[in-house]
Amino acid sequence: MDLLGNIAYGFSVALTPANLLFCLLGVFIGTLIGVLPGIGPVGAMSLLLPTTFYISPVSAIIMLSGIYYGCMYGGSTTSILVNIPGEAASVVTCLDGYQMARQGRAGPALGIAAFGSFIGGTISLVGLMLVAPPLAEAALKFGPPEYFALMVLGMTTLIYLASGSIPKALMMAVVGIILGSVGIDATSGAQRFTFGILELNDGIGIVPLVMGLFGISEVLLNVEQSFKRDIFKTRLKGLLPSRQDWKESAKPITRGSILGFFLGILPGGGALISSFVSYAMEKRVSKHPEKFGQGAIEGVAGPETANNSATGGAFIPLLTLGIPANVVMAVLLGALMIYGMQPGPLLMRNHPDLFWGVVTSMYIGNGMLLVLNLPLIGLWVQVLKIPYRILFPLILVFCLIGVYSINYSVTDVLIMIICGILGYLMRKFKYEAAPLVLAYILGPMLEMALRQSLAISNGSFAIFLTRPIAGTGIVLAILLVLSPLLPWMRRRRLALGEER
Amino acid sequence: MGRAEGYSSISWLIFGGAVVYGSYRLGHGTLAHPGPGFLPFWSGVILCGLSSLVFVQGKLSQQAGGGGPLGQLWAGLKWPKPIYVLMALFSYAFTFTHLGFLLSTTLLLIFLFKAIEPEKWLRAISGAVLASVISYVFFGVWLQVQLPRGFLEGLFF
Repeated sequence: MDLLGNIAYGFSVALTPANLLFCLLGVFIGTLIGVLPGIGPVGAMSLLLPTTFYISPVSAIIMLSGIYYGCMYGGSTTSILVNIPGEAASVVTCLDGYQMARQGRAGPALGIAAFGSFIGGTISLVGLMLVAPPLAEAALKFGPPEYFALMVLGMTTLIYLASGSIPKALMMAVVGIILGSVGIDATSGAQRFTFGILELNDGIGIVPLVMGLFGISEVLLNVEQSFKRDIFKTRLKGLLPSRQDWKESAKPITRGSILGFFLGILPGGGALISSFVSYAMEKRVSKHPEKFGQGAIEGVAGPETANNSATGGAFIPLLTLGIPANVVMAVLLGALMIYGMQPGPLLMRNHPDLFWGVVTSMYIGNGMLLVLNLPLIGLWVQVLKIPYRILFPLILVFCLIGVYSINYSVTDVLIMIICGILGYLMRKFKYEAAPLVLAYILGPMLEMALRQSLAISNGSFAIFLTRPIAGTGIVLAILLVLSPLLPWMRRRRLALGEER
Repeated sequence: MGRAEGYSSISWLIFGGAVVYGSYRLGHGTLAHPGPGFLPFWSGVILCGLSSLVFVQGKLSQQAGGGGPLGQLWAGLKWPKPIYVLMALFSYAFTFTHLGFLLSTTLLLIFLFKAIEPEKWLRAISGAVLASVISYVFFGVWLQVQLPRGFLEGLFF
């Protein structure tokens, strides 16, 4: 089937009433989650994951994907109106979006954020459709060493891009690998770190782990501080940007679309990085960089477009190689595996309904977001007014039911609470949860690829360097790990030079 | 963060040591045929190495005057509240199969509504009952999740 035929097939899947409904539900919930500070797409997706076991895998992935890109839309609303980013990728939107709101231009800021998101999302989906099929074909030739190297590179990039200390991020990745090894070893059948607990034979579930690390820990952090939000009181009028606004935003939107797409593909990249890079780029190329931070519409248009464009790009490594580019994709990978599907180059061939159905549903979802969100901005503002003291008990109850409903196991509930404590302490001591989750998901696949590679090479690690793709991946990963040492080495050399 | 780094890195060092010990007992296998303990063993070794590095970094930062006492991490915060929430969650986990979903969830919500940012009793109770019933209808009836009915089974269901 050619590309157009595949797209037509995808639309025939995505346009069924059930899938349309789940797409709508996903983008609606996603926007809601994006609006509410403190939950985020990872928490929301893992929270709703158990409820998707009762629907078809295609509908489930359509809904979960909708939550992801819907969050990007919703996040901008809180950034612009409250100066609190609904989720991390909208942090940079606060800088100019909130200033625009203070100047009585909240409407055009929200409008350009929504239009930019729509355009960026659509362009990235075109890229996804064009890039994914040939990449999946090429990936069919990959063996265990190539997969091992790509997974190592993915994890290393995420560690490199971690906001805090690199040794700490590396530690978290190692802890993730250890947690991923809990359960019965697939090769030897040995029980690893199960301590005789029957429920641990299948390993630690992704849902209790993620809900604990992200959902419960967020609640624990929030309840210990006063949580007050001041909504900037302004009349929302003129949501459609003016001709001048469009003129100023056209290039940032174009640049943001392309930049976001490519940064989204990169392992460890994604919406957060692309929004920051887009803001920095717009400021650099602007003729009036001094206006940035004081209500420049380019500072809203570029990052908001880029973070949505990155969501489409991030699907490429997941759907073609089976390697998640970020934590959200790691949760989607976990979901696909729970549904009995193996993401990777064969996904497109074995489950074309899933691949093309999900991709085309994103077109529809982006359209829904644009049509729904601008008229619903008043509703989202009302949602922002729900006090946290009412919200957090409900979040906790949803987490408890969600985790329990997977296996009807109290052990899973206890694991989630323990992971919540771990996540709370990790945040207090500045350890990031993202490398842990990504390594936890990739760990079993990484181990399998490592053991298979060593079996092929009869125990020689040279197999990871002698094969071109694997070698390139490993060398890049080593360079990334060592790169923080460069400034130190330069300082040392200068100091030695001065001593001489 | 100097002293905090010290405490956290020692905790990870102990965890890493336990993993090394546990995976050593599982067996490495050979390089050509790695055993079930191979990857966890080396992960544990790396974790021990990295936590030692973070410990040294913390000590150096402490010597340079960085980092206050551990309690500084909770300074100015209502630190007992997370403990209340955790106590409530653990109690819920241990009792909800016996008490049943509706009763245990209502009790949990009343506690959370009252203990963290106190609501009036009437609002707390009515809100808790309403939220429990709605979640039961959504998950238990609509999504067919088998929520425990506890000792009330047979009385109302």
